[in-house]
Amino acid sequence: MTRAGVAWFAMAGALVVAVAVVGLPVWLIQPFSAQSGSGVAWSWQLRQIAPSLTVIAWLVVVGGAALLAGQPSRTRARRVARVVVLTAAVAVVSGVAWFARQNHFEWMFRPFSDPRFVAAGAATDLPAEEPVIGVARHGAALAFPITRIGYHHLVNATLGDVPIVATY
Amino acid sequence: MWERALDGRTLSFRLIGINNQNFLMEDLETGSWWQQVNGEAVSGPMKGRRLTHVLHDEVTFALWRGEYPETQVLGLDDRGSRISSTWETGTAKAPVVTPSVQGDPLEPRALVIGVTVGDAARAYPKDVVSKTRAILDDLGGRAIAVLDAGDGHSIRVFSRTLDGQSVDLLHKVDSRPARYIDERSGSEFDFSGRAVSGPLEGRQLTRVPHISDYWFDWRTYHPATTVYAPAGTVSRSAPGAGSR
Repeated sequence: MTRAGVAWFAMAGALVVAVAVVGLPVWLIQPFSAQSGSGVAWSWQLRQIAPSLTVIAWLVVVGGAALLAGQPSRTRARRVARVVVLTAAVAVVSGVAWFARQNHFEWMFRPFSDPRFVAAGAATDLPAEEPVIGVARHGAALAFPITRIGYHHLVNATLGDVPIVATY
Repeated sequence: MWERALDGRTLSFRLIGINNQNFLMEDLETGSWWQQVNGEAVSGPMKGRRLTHVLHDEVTFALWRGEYPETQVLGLDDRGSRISSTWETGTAKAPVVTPSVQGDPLEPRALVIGVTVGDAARAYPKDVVSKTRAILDDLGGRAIAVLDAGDGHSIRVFSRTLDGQSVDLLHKVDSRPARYIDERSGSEFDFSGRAVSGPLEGRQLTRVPHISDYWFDWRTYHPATTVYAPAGTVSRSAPGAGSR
Protein backbone atom coordinates (compact mmCIF):
# COMPACT_ATOMS: atom_id res chain seq x y z
CA MET A 1 0.00 0.00 0.00
CA THR A 2 1.24 3.46 -0.81
CA ARG A 3 1.77 6.11 1.83
CA ALA A 4 -1.39 7.87 0.62
CA GLY A 5 -3.29 4.57 0.81
CA VAL A 6 -2.21 4.06 4.42
CA ALA A 7 -3.31 7.64 5.24
CA TRP A 8 -6.77 7.15 3.70
CA PHE A 9 -7.17 3.85 5.53
CA ALA A 10 -6.12 5.31 8.90
CA MET A 11 -8.44 8.28 8.46
CA ALA A 12 -11.42 6.10 7.63
CA GLY A 13 -10.71 3.83 10.61
CA ALA A 14 -10.32 6.77 13.00
CA LEU A 15 -13.59 8.29 11.77
CA VAL A 16 -15.55 5.06 12.21
CA VAL A 17 -14.18 4.53 15.73
CA ALA A 18 -14.84 8.14 16.76
CA VAL A 19 -18.42 8.12 15.46
CA ALA A 20 -19.10 4.75 17.08
CA VAL A 21 -17.70 5.63 20.51
CA VAL A 22 -19.81 8.79 20.64
CA GLY A 23 -22.88 7.55 18.78
CA LEU A 24 -23.39 4.20 20.52
CA PRO A 25 -24.17 5.63 24.00
CA VAL A 26 -26.58 8.12 22.43
CA TRP A 27 -28.35 5.27 20.68
CA LEU A 28 -28.25 2.89 23.68
CA ILE A 29 -29.71 5.29 26.23
CA GLN A 30 -32.19 7.23 24.13
CA PRO A 31 -35.47 8.14 25.83
CA PHE A 32 -38.62 6.15 25.07
CA SER A 33 -36.74 2.99 24.23
CA ALA A 34 -35.88 0.03 26.42
CA GLN A 35 -32.47 -0.21 28.07
CA SER A 36 -30.62 -3.27 29.27
CA GLY A 37 -28.15 -3.45 32.12
CA SER A 38 -25.31 -4.24 29.72
CA GLY A 39 -26.37 -1.41 27.40
CA VAL A 40 -26.10 1.08 30.26
CA ALA A 41 -22.75 -0.42 31.34
CA TRP A 42 -21.42 -0.12 27.77
CA SER A 43 -22.64 3.45 27.51
CA TRP A 44 -20.77 4.34 30.66
CA GLN A 45 -17.57 2.69 29.42
CA LEU A 46 -17.74 4.37 26.02
CA ARG A 47 -18.43 7.78 27.52
CA GLN A 48 -15.36 7.42 29.75
CA ILE A 49 -13.02 6.83 26.81
CA ALA A 50 -14.79 9.06 24.27
CA PRO A 51 -13.03 12.36 25.17
CA SER A 52 -9.48 10.99 24.76
CA LEU A 53 -10.30 8.59 21.92
CA THR A 54 -11.90 11.35 19.85
CA VAL A 55 -8.81 13.54 20.32
CA ILE A 56 -6.62 10.71 18.99
CA ALA A 57 -9.03 10.27 16.07
CA TRP A 58 -8.94 14.02 15.43
CA LEU A 59 -5.11 13.99 15.29
CA VAL A 60 -5.12 11.02 12.89
CA VAL A 61 -7.70 12.61 10.58
CA VAL A 62 -6.15 16.09 10.60
CA GLY A 63 -2.64 14.64 10.12
CA GLY A 64 -3.85 12.45 7.28
CA ALA A 65 -5.66 15.36 5.66
CA ALA A 66 -2.54 17.54 5.84
CA LEU A 67 -0.48 14.80 4.21
CA LEU A 68 -3.01 14.03 1.47
CA ALA A 69 -3.82 17.66 0.65
CA GLY A 70 -0.26 18.14 -0.60
CA GLN A 71 -0.30 15.09 -2.89
CA PRO A 72 -0.19 15.79 -6.66
CA SER A 73 -3.36 15.14 -8.63
CA ARG A 74 -3.82 14.12 -12.24
CA THR A 75 -6.73 16.46 -12.84
CA ARG A 76 -8.09 19.59 -11.25
CA ALA A 77 -11.44 17.88 -10.68
CA ARG A 78 -9.78 15.12 -8.69
CA ARG A 79 -7.96 17.65 -6.56
CA VAL A 80 -11.19 19.52 -5.81
CA ALA A 81 -12.98 16.29 -4.92
CA ARG A 82 -10.15 15.31 -2.62
CA VAL A 83 -10.20 18.64 -0.81
CA VAL A 84 -13.97 18.33 -0.34
CA VAL A 85 -13.68 14.82 1.12
CA LEU A 86 -10.79 15.79 3.41
CA THR A 87 -12.62 18.89 4.62
CA ALA A 88 -15.72 16.83 5.35
CA ALA A 89 -13.66 14.27 7.29
CA VAL A 90 -12.05 16.99 9.42
CA ALA A 91 -15.45 18.60 10.02
CA VAL A 92 -17.04 15.29 11.12
CA VAL A 93 -14.20 14.28 13.43
CA SER A 94 -14.14 17.80 14.94
CA GLY A 95 -17.89 17.67 15.51
CA VAL A 96 -17.65 14.25 17.13
CA ALA A 97 -14.74 15.33 19.38
CA TRP A 98 -16.82 18.34 20.45
CA PHE A 99 -19.92 16.22 21.11
CA ALA A 100 -17.86 13.85 23.28
CA ARG A 101 -17.49 16.80 25.68
CA GLN A 102 -21.18 17.67 25.72
CA ASN A 103 -24.03 16.35 27.85
CA HIS A 104 -26.97 16.33 25.48
CA PHE A 105 -29.38 15.38 28.28
CA GLU A 106 -28.65 18.81 29.73
CA TRP A 107 -29.55 20.35 26.38
CA MET A 108 -32.99 18.79 26.74
CA PHE A 109 -33.30 19.76 30.41
CA ARG A 110 -31.06 22.64 31.39
CA PRO A 111 -29.54 22.19 34.85
CA PHE A 112 -30.41 24.53 37.70
CA SER A 113 -26.84 24.87 38.95
CA ASP A 114 -27.42 27.75 41.39
CA PRO A 115 -30.89 26.92 42.72
CA ARG A 116 -32.56 29.85 44.40
CA PHE A 117 -35.07 29.48 47.20
CA VAL A 118 -37.63 31.99 48.42
CA ALA A 119 -39.67 32.14 51.62
CA ALA A 120 -43.13 30.58 51.44
CA GLY A 121 -44.77 33.98 51.75
CA ALA A 122 -42.77 35.30 48.78
CA ALA A 123 -43.71 32.39 46.49
CA THR A 124 -46.72 34.28 45.17
CA ASP A 125 -46.32 32.78 41.68
CA LEU A 126 -47.02 29.27 42.99
CA PRO A 127 -50.71 28.26 43.19
CA ALA A 128 -51.71 26.77 46.55
CA GLU A 129 -53.13 23.62 44.95
CA GLU A 130 -49.92 22.78 43.08
CA PRO A 131 -48.10 19.68 44.32
CA VAL A 132 -44.64 20.04 45.83
CA ILE A 133 -41.97 17.64 46.97
CA GLY A 134 -41.46 18.64 50.59
CA VAL A 135 -38.62 17.72 52.88
CA ALA A 136 -38.09 18.80 56.49
CA ARG A 137 -35.51 17.99 59.11
CA HIS A 138 -34.33 19.65 62.32
CA GLY A 139 -36.29 22.85 61.76
CA ALA A 140 -35.30 23.27 58.12
CA ALA A 141 -37.85 22.74 55.36
CA LEU A 142 -37.64 22.89 51.56
CA ALA A 143 -40.38 22.63 48.95
CA PHE A 144 -39.71 21.73 45.32
CA PRO A 145 -42.74 22.54 43.14
CA ILE A 146 -43.24 19.61 40.76
CA THR A 147 -43.71 21.90 37.75
CA ARG A 148 -40.16 23.19 38.40
CA ILE A 149 -38.22 20.13 39.52
CA GLY A 150 -40.13 18.07 36.95
CA TYR A 151 -38.34 20.10 34.30
CA HIS A 152 -34.82 19.96 35.75
CA HIS A 153 -35.30 16.40 37.10
CA LEU A 154 -32.74 16.95 39.81
CA VAL A 155 -31.60 19.82 42.00
CA ASN A 156 -28.56 19.77 44.29
CA ALA A 157 -29.55 21.51 47.52
CA THR A 158 -28.78 21.68 51.22
CA LEU A 159 -31.38 21.02 53.91
CA GLY A 160 -30.14 22.68 57.08
CA ASP A 161 -26.57 21.39 56.94
CA VAL A 162 -27.34 18.17 55.08
CA PRO A 163 -26.47 18.14 51.36
CA ILE A 164 -29.28 16.49 49.42
CA VAL A 165 -30.26 15.89 45.83
CA ALA A 166 -33.95 16.31 45.13
CA THR A 167 -35.13 14.20 42.20
CA TYR A 168 -38.29 13.85 40.20
CA MET B 1 -34.68 12.51 47.43
CA TRP B 2 -31.23 11.43 48.53
CA GLU B 3 -28.44 12.53 50.81
CA ARG B 4 -25.39 13.32 48.73
CA ALA B 5 -22.70 13.04 51.38
CA LEU B 6 -20.87 9.74 51.04
CA ASP B 7 -17.59 8.58 52.57
CA GLY B 8 -16.85 12.05 53.91
CA ARG B 9 -17.29 13.90 50.64
CA THR B 10 -20.20 15.75 49.11
CA LEU B 11 -21.29 14.59 45.67
CA SER B 12 -22.78 16.92 43.06
CA PHE B 13 -25.15 15.37 40.58
CA ARG B 14 -26.16 16.09 37.03
CA LEU B 15 -28.59 14.46 34.64
CA ILE B 16 -26.69 12.01 32.42
CA GLY B 17 -29.14 9.59 30.82
CA ILE B 18 -32.15 7.38 31.09
CA ASN B 19 -32.62 3.73 31.95
CA ASN B 20 -36.04 2.33 31.11
CA GLN B 21 -37.75 5.68 31.66
CA ASN B 22 -36.11 6.30 34.98
CA PHE B 23 -33.30 8.80 34.82
CA LEU B 24 -29.64 8.28 35.54
CA MET B 25 -27.56 10.89 37.30
CA GLU B 26 -23.80 11.26 37.35
CA ASP B 27 -21.79 12.51 40.28
CA LEU B 28 -19.07 14.90 39.17
CA GLU B 29 -16.65 13.67 41.83
CA THR B 30 -16.32 10.01 40.75
CA GLY B 31 -18.15 9.97 37.41
CA SER B 32 -20.39 7.12 38.59
CA TRP B 33 -23.93 6.75 37.28
CA TRP B 34 -26.76 6.45 39.77
CA GLN B 35 -30.35 5.29 39.26
CA GLN B 36 -32.80 7.94 40.39
CA VAL B 37 -35.52 5.60 41.65
CA ASN B 38 -33.46 3.60 44.14
CA GLY B 39 -30.30 5.69 44.64
CA GLU B 40 -28.05 2.83 43.54
CA ALA B 41 -24.87 3.31 41.52
CA VAL B 42 -25.17 1.16 38.38
CA SER B 43 -21.84 2.03 36.70
CA GLY B 44 -18.50 3.49 37.63
CA PRO B 45 -16.24 3.36 40.70
CA MET B 46 -19.20 3.54 43.12
CA LYS B 47 -21.11 0.71 41.43
CA GLY B 48 -23.27 -1.17 43.94
CA ARG B 49 -23.24 1.64 46.51
CA ARG B 50 -26.50 3.23 47.62
CA LEU B 51 -27.30 6.78 48.64
CA THR B 52 -29.16 7.35 51.90
CA HIS B 53 -32.85 7.96 51.30
CA VAL B 54 -34.38 11.16 52.64
CA LEU B 55 -37.97 10.94 53.83
CA HIS B 56 -40.02 13.37 51.81
CA ASP B 57 -43.56 14.31 50.95
CA GLU B 58 -45.56 14.82 47.81
CA VAL B 59 -48.33 17.16 48.94
CA THR B 60 -49.99 20.40 47.86
CA PHE B 61 -48.15 23.66 48.48
CA ALA B 62 -51.09 24.78 50.66
CA LEU B 63 -50.74 21.77 52.95
CA TRP B 64 -46.93 22.00 53.10
CA ARG B 65 -46.73 25.67 54.00
CA GLY B 66 -49.49 25.14 56.56
CA GLU B 67 -47.37 22.53 58.32
CA TYR B 68 -44.01 24.22 57.70
CA PRO B 69 -44.56 28.00 57.54
CA GLU B 70 -40.76 28.52 57.63
CA THR B 71 -40.27 26.46 54.44
CA GLN B 72 -38.11 27.73 51.61
CA VAL B 73 -39.47 27.19 48.10
CA LEU B 74 -37.45 26.46 44.97
CA GLY B 75 -37.74 29.46 42.66
CA LEU B 76 -37.66 29.54 38.88
CA ASP B 77 -34.37 29.64 36.99
CA ASP B 78 -33.47 32.63 34.80
CA ARG B 79 -35.37 31.22 31.85
CA GLY B 80 -38.44 30.39 33.92
CA SER B 81 -38.05 26.67 33.05
CA ARG B 82 -41.07 24.64 34.09
CA ILE B 83 -43.36 21.93 32.85
CA SER B 84 -47.07 22.43 32.35
CA SER B 85 -49.24 21.92 35.42
CA THR B 86 -51.24 19.48 33.28
CA TRP B 87 -48.10 17.40 32.66
CA GLU B 88 -49.75 14.29 34.13
CA THR B 89 -52.18 14.14 31.23
CA GLY B 90 -49.36 14.27 28.69
CA THR B 91 -47.11 11.83 30.52
CA ALA B 92 -49.97 9.35 30.85
CA LYS B 93 -49.96 8.99 27.06
CA ALA B 94 -46.20 8.44 26.74
CA PRO B 95 -45.18 4.98 25.59
CA VAL B 96 -43.99 2.36 28.07
CA VAL B 97 -40.93 0.34 27.07
CA THR B 98 -40.49 -2.14 29.88
CA PRO B 99 -41.75 -5.62 28.96
CA SER B 100 -45.49 -6.04 29.33
CA VAL B 101 -46.68 -8.93 31.45
CA GLN B 102 -49.71 -11.06 30.73
CA GLY B 103 -52.36 -10.83 33.40
CA ASP B 104 -50.73 -7.74 34.88
CA PRO B 105 -53.04 -6.54 37.66
CA LEU B 106 -52.64 -2.85 36.72
CA GLU B 107 -52.18 -0.71 33.65
CA PRO B 108 -48.47 0.16 33.10
CA ARG B 109 -49.11 3.85 33.76
CA ALA B 110 -51.42 3.35 36.72
CA LEU B 111 -50.21 5.57 39.57
CA VAL B 112 -49.27 3.65 42.69
CA ILE B 113 -48.09 4.43 46.18
CA GLY B 114 -45.12 2.11 46.61
CA VAL B 115 -44.16 1.01 50.11
CA THR B 116 -41.39 -1.29 51.27
CA VAL B 117 -41.00 -2.67 54.79
CA GLY B 118 -37.93 -4.90 55.11
CA ASP B 119 -38.06 -7.25 52.12
CA ALA B 120 -41.78 -6.77 51.56
CA ALA B 121 -42.97 -4.41 48.84
CA ARG B 122 -46.55 -3.47 48.04
CA ALA B 123 -48.18 -1.13 45.55
CA TYR B 124 -51.34 0.73 46.57
CA PRO B 125 -53.20 1.93 43.47
CA LYS B 126 -53.64 5.67 43.87
CA ASP B 127 -57.30 5.60 42.83
CA VAL B 128 -58.03 3.05 45.57
CA VAL B 129 -56.20 5.19 48.14
CA SER B 130 -58.07 8.32 47.08
CA LYS B 131 -61.41 6.56 47.25
CA THR B 132 -60.80 4.90 50.60
CA ARG B 133 -58.93 7.89 52.15
CA ALA B 134 -57.51 5.58 54.87
CA ILE B 135 -56.18 2.10 54.11
CA LEU B 136 -55.21 -0.15 56.99
CA ASP B 137 -52.80 -2.90 56.09
CA ASP B 138 -50.05 -5.13 57.38
CA LEU B 139 -46.82 -5.23 55.42
CA GLY B 140 -43.64 -7.08 56.31
CA GLY B 141 -44.93 -7.64 59.84
CA ARG B 142 -45.74 -4.00 60.43
CA ALA B 143 -49.21 -2.48 60.75
CA ILE B 144 -49.40 0.53 58.45
CA ALA B 145 -51.96 3.12 57.39
CA VAL B 146 -52.04 4.84 53.99
CA LEU B 147 -53.77 8.21 54.42
CA ASP B 148 -55.08 10.50 51.70
CA ALA B 149 -55.70 14.18 52.50
CA GLY B 150 -58.38 14.45 49.84
CA ASP B 151 -56.80 17.26 47.79
CA GLY B 152 -55.86 15.02 44.88
CA HIS B 153 -52.13 14.94 45.67
CA SER B 154 -51.30 14.51 49.32
CA ILE B 155 -50.75 10.96 50.59
CA ARG B 156 -48.74 9.73 53.58
CA VAL B 157 -47.98 6.33 55.05
CA PHE B 158 -47.63 5.71 58.78
CA SER B 159 -46.72 2.90 61.10
CA ARG B 160 -49.93 2.58 63.13
CA THR B 161 -48.79 0.97 66.35
CA LEU B 162 -48.68 2.90 69.62
CA ASP B 163 -47.68 1.19 72.89
CA GLY B 164 -48.12 -2.21 71.24
CA GLN B 165 -51.70 -1.41 70.26
CA SER B 166 -52.74 -0.94 66.68
CA VAL B 167 -54.36 2.34 65.75
CA ASP B 168 -57.23 1.63 63.36
CA LEU B 169 -57.83 4.84 61.47
CA LEU B 170 -61.00 5.61 59.60
CA HIS B 171 -61.45 8.74 57.54
CA LYS B 172 -63.81 11.15 59.29
CA VAL B 173 -66.50 11.90 56.73
CA ASP B 174 -66.55 15.49 55.40
CA SER B 175 -63.63 16.56 57.61
CA ARG B 176 -61.65 19.47 56.20
CA PRO B 177 -58.73 19.50 56.78
CA ALA B 178 -58.81 15.74 56.80
CA ARG B 179 -59.19 13.95 60.13
CA TYR B 180 -58.99 10.26 60.90
CA ILE B 181 -60.58 8.52 63.85
CA ASP B 182 -59.00 5.61 65.69
CA GLU B 183 -61.80 3.07 66.10
CA ARG B 184 -60.19 1.58 69.18
CA SER B 185 -59.60 4.70 71.30
CA GLY B 186 -61.83 7.24 69.60
CA SER B 187 -58.85 9.57 69.24
CA GLU B 188 -58.76 11.90 66.27
CA PHE B 189 -55.63 12.19 64.12
CA ASP B 190 -54.65 14.80 61.56
CA PHE B 191 -52.82 14.23 58.26
CA SER B 192 -49.43 14.71 59.92
CA GLY B 193 -50.11 11.59 61.98
CA ARG B 194 -50.58 13.45 65.25
CA ALA B 195 -53.50 12.77 67.59
CA VAL B 196 -55.29 16.08 68.06
CA SER B 197 -57.98 14.90 70.48
CA GLY B 198 -59.06 11.90 72.52
CA PRO B 199 -57.08 9.64 74.87
CA LEU B 200 -54.09 9.58 72.52
CA GLU B 201 -53.94 13.38 72.10
CA GLY B 202 -50.41 14.59 71.44
CA ARG B 203 -49.13 11.20 70.31
CA GLN B 204 -47.40 10.99 66.96
CA LEU B 205 -47.45 8.10 64.49
CA THR B 206 -44.13 7.33 62.76
CA ARG B 207 -43.85 7.91 59.03
CA VAL B 208 -43.09 5.05 56.68
CA PRO B 209 -41.30 6.10 53.46
CA HIS B 210 -43.22 5.69 50.23
CA ILE B 211 -42.87 6.78 46.66
CA SER B 212 -45.49 7.83 44.18
CA ASP B 213 -44.67 5.99 40.97
CA TYR B 214 -45.99 4.44 37.79
CA TRP B 215 -46.81 0.77 38.13
CA PHE B 216 -44.40 -0.26 35.34
CA ASP B 217 -41.52 1.52 37.09
CA TRP B 218 -42.34 0.25 40.59
CA ARG B 219 -42.69 -3.30 39.26
CA THR B 220 -39.33 -3.08 37.46
CA TYR B 221 -37.43 -2.13 40.61
CA HIS B 222 -39.51 -4.25 43.02
CA PRO B 223 -40.09 -7.47 41.08
CA ALA B 224 -41.47 -9.29 44.14
CA THR B 225 -44.08 -6.61 44.86
CA THR B 226 -47.67 -7.44 45.67
CA VAL B 227 -50.61 -5.21 44.81
CA TYR B 228 -53.07 -4.10 47.45
CA ALA B 229 -56.60 -5.20 46.65
CA PRO B 230 -59.52 -3.12 47.95
CA ALA B 231 -61.07 -6.07 49.77
CA GLY B 232 -58.12 -5.79 52.12
CA THR B 233 -57.70 -9.48 52.55
CA VAL B 234 -56.29 -10.52 49.19
CA SER B 235 -53.05 -9.15 47.85
CA ARG B 236 -52.15 -10.28 44.39
CA SER B 237 -48.60 -10.95 43.36
CA ALA B 238 -47.29 -9.33 40.23
CA PRO B 239 -47.11 -12.08 37.59
CA GLY B 240 -43.57 -13.07 36.86
CA ALA B 241 -42.50 -11.86 40.27
CA GLY B 242 -38.90 -12.65 40.92
CA SER B 243 -38.23 -13.81 37.38
CA ARG B 244 -36.36 -10.69 36.41
